[in-house]
Amino acid sequence: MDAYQSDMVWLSRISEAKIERVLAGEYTGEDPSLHALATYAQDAKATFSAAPDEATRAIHLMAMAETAAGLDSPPASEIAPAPSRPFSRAKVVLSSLIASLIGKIALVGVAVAATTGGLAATGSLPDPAQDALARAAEKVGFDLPASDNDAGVPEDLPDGAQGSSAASVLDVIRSWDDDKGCEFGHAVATAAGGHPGACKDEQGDDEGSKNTGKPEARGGRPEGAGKPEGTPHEKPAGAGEGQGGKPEGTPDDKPEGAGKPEAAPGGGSDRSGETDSGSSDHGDGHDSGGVVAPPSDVPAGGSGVGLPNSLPGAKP
Amino acid sequence: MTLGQAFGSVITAARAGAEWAWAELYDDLAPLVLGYLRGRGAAEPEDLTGEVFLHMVRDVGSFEGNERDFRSWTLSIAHHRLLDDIRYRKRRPAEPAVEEVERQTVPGGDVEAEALSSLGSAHVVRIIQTLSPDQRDVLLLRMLADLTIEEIAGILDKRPGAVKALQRRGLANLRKKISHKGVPL
Repeated sequence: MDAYQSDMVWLSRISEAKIERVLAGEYTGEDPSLHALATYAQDAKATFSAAPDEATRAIHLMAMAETAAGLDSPPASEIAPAPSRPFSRAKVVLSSLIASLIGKIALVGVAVAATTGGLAATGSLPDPAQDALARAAEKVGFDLPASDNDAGVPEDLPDGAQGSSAASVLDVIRSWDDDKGCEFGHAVATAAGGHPGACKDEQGDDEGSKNTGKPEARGGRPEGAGKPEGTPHEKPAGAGEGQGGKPEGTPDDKPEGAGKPEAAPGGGSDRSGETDSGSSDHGDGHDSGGVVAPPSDVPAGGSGVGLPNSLPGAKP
Repeated sequence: MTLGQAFGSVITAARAGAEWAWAELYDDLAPLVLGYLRGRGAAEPEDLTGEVFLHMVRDVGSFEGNERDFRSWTLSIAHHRLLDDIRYRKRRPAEPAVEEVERQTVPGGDVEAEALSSLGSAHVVRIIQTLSPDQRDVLLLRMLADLTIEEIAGILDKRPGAVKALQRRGLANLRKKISHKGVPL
């Protein structure tokens, strides 16, 4: 057994109460080792209990008084005591983060508003957005240009279309000033040589497209279009679908100058889907002015108002 | 503990900035703080004592408790301030020699030093310096401040069992050193 182990064995035999008395320097037992330790404790107390000298004491008290006086005016440690400092710091970080986030959002908002306003002022926005903004601005006293959707009626027909049913269609369109509803579509379809069905008043409400004020010409298939298959009401349900008349898959799927007819007056509207929404002011069959050029495989003179549903590639 | 019943009014006055109250607290606790720092071998115990009391002045608003708690709180400040000082001085060239510590324990001139030395204070210091820092902490706080195991555990951020073990090992080492060196007791 080495010295350390013997010391530990010796200590293990000493009770806690004896240790307390030894450390207090009050041991009065017979164990000489404990007696020596108690004496050492007394000497340690005497040695390490000396007070600071007067000069040191005066310096310390002066510094304490200055510190205490400094705490009277903005007592930072009292306002934000130690336990709450991390929270305060987190609060500051959080608030600055929120502030910067709000600032960024506000900056983006201002940028978007400025860009939109600029585009709206120049009439460069997409037509629906331009119209909506123009209406909104008009209510608050600003005058913004609306979209030029009403440019759907061409001035002249192409040479190849002269003398065809397109001329009759154009005449009907030009002569029809107001209330471009079912009767208008009916007239256009008839002018195009089609066999339009009756309007709602005549036929009842079994036609979904007519319930929405959809022009009769939707179903009226222009014979000149070179697609005699399909009756005008071959697909009445399709008349109520937004993409029903879009000539997808044709070579000129999205012809240039959409909305600015160049070749075929009275061509089907590429916005026929909007007319399906039931909105009465869009029920004229060509109100959006999105007159598309006829597909390249369709004779120019045969284009009627409203694209035939049974065109190759047309969506069901 | 010399303030006793007056502790409440003294601490209240100290919080209000009364210089007399701070003087009372200083006179009561400065010897204890200075003795602990000297026993632990602080390089500049007087300076550290001053810093401890400045810290106390700044943070007394957050203190809650009785006089015994205040003593533990003060020694806790002293302990952490000492650790900061030791860390700071580790980046410096040298720790103070034992002779330096012995000289610092002697308040006053050479005559007083000789008198204290004759009483064995130099040997007391020399022996306590042979213990490990943790053992010194425990034994000094037990002997000088009469703190309990739990109170010392709170100051040193240790568990009471660990403090008790440190106390036993420290006492065993002290016994061995005393018997070997023949400290005049």
